[in-house]
Amino acid sequence: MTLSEGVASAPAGVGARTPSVPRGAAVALDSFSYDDDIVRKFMLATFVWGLVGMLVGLIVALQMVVPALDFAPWFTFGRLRPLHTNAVIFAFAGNAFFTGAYYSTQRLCKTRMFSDVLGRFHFWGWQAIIVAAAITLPLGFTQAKEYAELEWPIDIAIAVVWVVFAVNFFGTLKQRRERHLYVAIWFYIASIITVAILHIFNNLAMPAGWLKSYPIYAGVQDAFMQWWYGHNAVAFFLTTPFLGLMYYFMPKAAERPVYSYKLSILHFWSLVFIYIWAGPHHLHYTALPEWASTLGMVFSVMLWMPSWGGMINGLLTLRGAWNKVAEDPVLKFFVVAVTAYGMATFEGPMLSIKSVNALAHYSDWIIAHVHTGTLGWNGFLTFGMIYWLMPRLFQTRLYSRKLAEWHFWIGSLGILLYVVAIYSAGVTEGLMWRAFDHTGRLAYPDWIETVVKVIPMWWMRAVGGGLYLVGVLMLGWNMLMTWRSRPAVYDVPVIQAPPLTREHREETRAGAPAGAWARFTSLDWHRMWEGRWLLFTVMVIVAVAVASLFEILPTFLIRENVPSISSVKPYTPLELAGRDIYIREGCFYCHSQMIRPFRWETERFGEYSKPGEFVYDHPFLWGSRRIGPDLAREGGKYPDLWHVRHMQDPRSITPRSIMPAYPQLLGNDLDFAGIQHKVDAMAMLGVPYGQAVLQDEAPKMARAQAALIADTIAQQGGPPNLQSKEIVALVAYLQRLGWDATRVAGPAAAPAAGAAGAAAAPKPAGGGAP
Amino acid sequence: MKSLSDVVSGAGLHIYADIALVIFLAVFVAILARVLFTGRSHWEHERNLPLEDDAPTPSTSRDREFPHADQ
Repeated sequence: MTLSEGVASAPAGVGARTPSVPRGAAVALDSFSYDDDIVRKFMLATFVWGLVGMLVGLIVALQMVVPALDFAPWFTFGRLRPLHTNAVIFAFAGNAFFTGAYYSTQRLCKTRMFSDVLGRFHFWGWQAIIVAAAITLPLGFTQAKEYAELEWPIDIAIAVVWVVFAVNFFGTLKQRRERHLYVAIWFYIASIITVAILHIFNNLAMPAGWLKSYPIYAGVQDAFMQWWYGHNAVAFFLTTPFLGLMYYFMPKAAERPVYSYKLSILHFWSLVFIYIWAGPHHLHYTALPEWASTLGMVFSVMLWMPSWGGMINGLLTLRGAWNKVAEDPVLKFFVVAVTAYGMATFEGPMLSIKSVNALAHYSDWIIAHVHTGTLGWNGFLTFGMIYWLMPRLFQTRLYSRKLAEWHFWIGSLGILLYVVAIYSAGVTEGLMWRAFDHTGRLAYPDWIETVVKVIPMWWMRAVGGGLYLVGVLMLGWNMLMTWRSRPAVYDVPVIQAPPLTREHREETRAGAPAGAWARFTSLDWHRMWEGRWLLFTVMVIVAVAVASLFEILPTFLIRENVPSISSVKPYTPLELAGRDIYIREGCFYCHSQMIRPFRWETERFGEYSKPGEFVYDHPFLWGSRRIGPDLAREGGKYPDLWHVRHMQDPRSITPRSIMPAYPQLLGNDLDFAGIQHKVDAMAMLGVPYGQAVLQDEAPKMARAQAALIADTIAQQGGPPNLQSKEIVALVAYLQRLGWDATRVAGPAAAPAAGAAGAAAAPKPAGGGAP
Repeated sequence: MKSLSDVVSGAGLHIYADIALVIFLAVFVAILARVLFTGRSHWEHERNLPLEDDAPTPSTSRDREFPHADQ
């Protein structure tokens, strides 16, 4: 069937708002069909990657209670944890968003997607990126930024594929046949635009090889950028796209319009205005400037209201239809999803309050908070959407409604077990870390005591996660069996709708005064935005960009925010190589390097961290979780041999340690030649490396320092001839941590005297420790 | 030589963050007013968009210019 075959005639009264076409003139209808093939593809990818990501999540949960499961260098917690987070966020939730967006955008705009070719490029490009992530992350290629771990070539690929998606999406809006952009579309626009901005600016980096780079930001500024990104990745990848899906699929499933369209408008703009400011609440009591931290807290608390606006709107859409919830597994999933959204978005603002954050930060409480949102909100909304879509996309009955019900109940039980256990673990950890006994000393001075205490809760978490995964397998079986009963050839319905006219003008409300001021105060301009996708998009960009710039620029450009410390010097070439091994193994996922100014932290770890200590840290490695102790003042605490033995077999030092063993570090040769590239890249970023940038100078310095450390280890009774092995670089780095800012008096300060001099110093950081 | 950080540090730009916040607040209040001062019926078509999108025939959008059946 070709376009413009039909001729419409509408009932009396229709079109009364702006009758630009002469009454009675026949209007040709466009005929078109929707591209549901791309929706089926994304739906299958959602399931496959969800299964993979959640399986890896279960594995890392088990590795925390059975360290023997860290059985290979590429299979340790530090390598698999980013695979889990990236898979569930970008592969599972990402494909779920694309599934729903491709399905609903076509229907809400009454048009086929702008380009089938771009749609397929988007699909296959995104899947290729996920495969690239699944290969590179276990191999240790990482930028060390949470949820932005992928290295620069993959980042470029993400940007390209995202732009293709954006072109296809906005092209679809441009050719739409429905004047008004439904609120779900607004949320999609905000997501697409903001994710692009976040991705580009957080991933600006200096390549030091094909799969190695250093961010252009350092220390405090890098932390600020990362959590501006990290928080808003949650906001604009896991929240706004799913709110868009909720606003489309919830009314479809309930067969009722959204409860309040007015509330959805308020809810949308409030989220866009406020969310972008809230990132610094991830860095309370760190070396971040106080004003930024407080700003983040205030905006986070304000976020509670618009977030609940969405929750209330979702739940009240079911008014008068609650009887359907009892019968329909789709609505059951949606109700729990929206409820979980409400719980998580109450808890988020609460956690951003500094006194609450002081207890919760670095603990499992944050993990519980995240999983309430992801398992409940993202997971269940996705499952509900898939169960609703399956009969429509496969054009047959759902294989088993009963199995879907079982999925719902077993998944709900899984969530409950998971979060109850991990909330308990988080509060327990927070309280044990800060406890003092009656003599005024730490009640639990051995870190391992606080770990062992929560292991039963970690077991319970694994059981909960396992149940959730079983539910996903049920979904897979239901999907397979439904797909098998599909028709031999899918029916492709032809839809007819009239095109939009260019002459359209918005109706002015009756009695509204004339004139520019009157037009502004009548506020009908917002209605104009709602019909103009480009203008609407520009407004979203302005909101996001202004908020971002006014929060970020002062941290970058006003010196008082990061006072410098003259004794802080760059890492030596060997220490830099060791730092990269630390990054490769994902040590920062379990060990923070940020001591907060609390007595319970300074008693345990040492002097609190200062902003000026991190000016050469590309990237920052403050961490967000303490499964092991903080390492900010690790340098000089233990002999070099202690570190060698600890890496070789942590349980030989601490019997109940859950840390993976890294015996391979004693066997792997260090890539000395590659150190020059690392130093050169750092120098390009402004790190004063002096003589070390001369050709082959950095490897020479590194070898000299390595020889000293290897001698020291041998003298302390350790294995001989380690000077060419990776372990010496890691020891050098660990022994340098915290050295510069706190040990500046006396000859021991020698390692801080500069990168060039450090290699030749008689007692360098590694090798000189007591 | 002065760096960009030196220039910005001494430029007294702190007030601009406050101005940005005020602008944000003003726009938000305007949108709030827009929403509050329009009747529920004004949004009836928009509310129902997801429910009419599978219709194989033209929807009865009030925004769309149709001829009348009686003409």
